[in-house]
Amino acid sequence: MIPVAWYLILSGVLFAVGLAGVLVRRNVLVIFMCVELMMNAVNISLVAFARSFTGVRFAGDAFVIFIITVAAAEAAVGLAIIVSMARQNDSIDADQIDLLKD
Amino acid sequence: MVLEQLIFFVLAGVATLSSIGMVLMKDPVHAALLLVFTFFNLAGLYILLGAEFIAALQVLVYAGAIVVLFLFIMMLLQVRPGPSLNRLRFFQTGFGPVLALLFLAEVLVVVFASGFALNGGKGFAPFDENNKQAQQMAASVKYVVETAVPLKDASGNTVGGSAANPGILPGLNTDKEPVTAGHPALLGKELYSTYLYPFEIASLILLIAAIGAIVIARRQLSNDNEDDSPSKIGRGISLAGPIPGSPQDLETKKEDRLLEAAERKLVMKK
Repeated sequence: MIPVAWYLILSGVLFAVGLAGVLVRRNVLVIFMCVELMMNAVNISLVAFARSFTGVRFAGDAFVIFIITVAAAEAAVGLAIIVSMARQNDSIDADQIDLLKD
Repeated sequence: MVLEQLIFFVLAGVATLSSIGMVLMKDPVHAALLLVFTFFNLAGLYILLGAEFIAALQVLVYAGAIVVLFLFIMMLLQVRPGPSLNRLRFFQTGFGPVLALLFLAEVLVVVFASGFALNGGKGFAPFDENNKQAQQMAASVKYVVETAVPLKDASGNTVGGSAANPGILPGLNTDKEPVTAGHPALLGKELYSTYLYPFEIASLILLIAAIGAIVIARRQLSNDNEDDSPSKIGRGISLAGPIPGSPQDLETKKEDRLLEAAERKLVMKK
């Protein structure tokens, strides 16, 4: 039996790695992939919690399924926005999205 | 038991290392491949948790669909490797990891400070008073399951666990370890009963996202020489205007011409 805390620690580590990636990287695609990684970290902790508490067993699984659905929708829309952005100013660098600046 | 923990350590370690590698890779394609590797390891962890259906979903949706979509976009845009991390600005390389480490420390403090840190999630004191409610909900789930799921499949195997008490699903005894918790039939039953409305809303979200993605990513039609082209109004995400030659387009052109005439009149008056 693996303690729930191990899963939670792994989830926290993955979330922190994804957070660091979002803050450090400048490529919009890589930032997006890091967001996906953060969602996966949350999914791990949700399933671990769902297995740890006896009684209600399906809330965590159902939440994870909805999160995966929303992640797929978000990936489709986000990548469409990235494609549109790359057509407009020929770059997918997050630092060059400064339309509202000037 | 020891083997289980060993598998957990291998999967978790490889997942962590490959995710760190994903952040550090210069080439976005390498980052995407490492992300696939991380997702496969996480699918293994789901199987270890007893959530086989979610493991399959992880491989199909995340590794199969989402990352492949990323790779397609990379081919479409011809991304180039970015600058290495030590050539970025200090604010980015310094501030990001510090904030992430702060967050990690916070998570670790919470995990170790809470009562169920190292006892496998059992005997979590503040939730004991909710036990009655939990048992009631488990009983209702059990009722649903008994009516819905065939307890034995064709080969005579019971669904998960041992066949000690054939009347009730073995894994659904509240005092035993969850054996059948990841069973797709139970999960599907729950999805279509308790979570019916979220399920329908999720399907609506998918539909809207599909339409929105098509609209946003549609190539601009050739209306470059027109004054009201969206790229002139705003260079951001320009939702494509009406199709040239269509009745709406002609109407808007007429309106614009009228507006221009009115403006010219105003200027002339001044």
